Amino acid sequence: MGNGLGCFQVASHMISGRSSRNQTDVPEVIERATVTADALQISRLECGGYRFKYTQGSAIPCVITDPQYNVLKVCSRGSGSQVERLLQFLVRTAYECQFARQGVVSLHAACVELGDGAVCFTGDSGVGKSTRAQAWVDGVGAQLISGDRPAIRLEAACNIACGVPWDGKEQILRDVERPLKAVLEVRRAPFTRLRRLTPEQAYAVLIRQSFIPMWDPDTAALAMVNVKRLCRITPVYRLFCGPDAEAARETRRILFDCPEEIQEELPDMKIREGFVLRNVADEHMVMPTGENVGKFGGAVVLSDVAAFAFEQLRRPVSREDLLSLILAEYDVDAETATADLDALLAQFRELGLLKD
Amino acid sequence: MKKAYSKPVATKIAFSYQEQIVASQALGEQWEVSCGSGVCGHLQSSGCSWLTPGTAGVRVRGIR
Repeated sequence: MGNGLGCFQVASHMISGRSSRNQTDVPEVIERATVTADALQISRLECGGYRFKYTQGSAIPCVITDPQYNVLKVCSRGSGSQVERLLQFLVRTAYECQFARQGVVSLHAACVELGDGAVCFTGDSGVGKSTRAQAWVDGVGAQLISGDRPAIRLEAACNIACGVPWDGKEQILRDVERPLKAVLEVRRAPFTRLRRLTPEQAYAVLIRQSFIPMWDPDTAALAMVNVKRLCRITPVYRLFCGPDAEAARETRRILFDCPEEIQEELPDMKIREGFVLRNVADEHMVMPTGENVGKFGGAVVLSDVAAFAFEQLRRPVSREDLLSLILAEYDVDAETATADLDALLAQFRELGLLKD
Repeated sequence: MKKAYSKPVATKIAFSYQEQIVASQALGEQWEVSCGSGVCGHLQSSGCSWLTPGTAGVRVRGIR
């Protein structure tokens, strides 16, 4: 089965080294502008195309594209697994630019297929996307489509999750496609809950986890529009759950069998940028950073439970879900925890720490 | 097993001098101290770059 991306075969050839490659003939590059993103250096060429190379090292290996990323020229010297590895990242990045222009979102997520549909687990690195996906493999018989960054092809009625010939540590390189049933933003919790996100909340989650080529404003704008379209068609939920198979079974049950149990949308709160939590001499201390240092003129000492709440609030969360997290973590009755949390949130607001 | 609960509290400690903020950081951390008290003037007068007394090797950069 093809994945309908229209480029899978070409990309596979390039990555596996079977394409005709320009071994030594590196085109003369007249750069108009250069930006650097992590290890990658992207240069705009006189012809309007782009050159992708590593920041460190020489001009080879590199990938050179036309302005629309339709034609990729791979320049390398030698062969072997190390060269292939170096090329893979460059080729992947160039292709992801092409995706943006073709209505495809490259999403930082672990993606599984189950039955005739697919589910994506997204979130910041280290939150447990892969663990949740593996729990679905172990607990409900799902199969991984991609461990790190599936391509989501946007369609009018239903977006399609597609496997790609590159991946993270899982190295799942499957040429399959399945209708995308839901995107789940993973949050660690000792209980299982799905909460619907508003379009604005969903967009804020997905834009952080999507490939946006900021060095190319036109393509970046298209990529952002694609993310908006993705949110409009596919439901995005915040998933609170544990890492085990039982949590996977419960999540699947709510999602597919009992959608009426999915919680309604609620407003989020979040700690403002420019504050960090440090453990100083066994005390939890919130320290201002950057420009906040002079403005704030001090630090904030937190008790244990307050520090737990602060940590949860580093990402958007509703008051109700925060309360549930506290009740699950600490030995306290709901009435006491509710009153104490409201008082703490009022303190955070008064101190200017909280953004509603 | 759930953890023992205690009332969540946030207590602000106001610093008189910006040096105290710096001194509470680990050695080697870079810090930007914005203009405010007399400390800023001190930073300004030395070209917005100075070694914090007593914390050898920590360079502090003042910004206005």
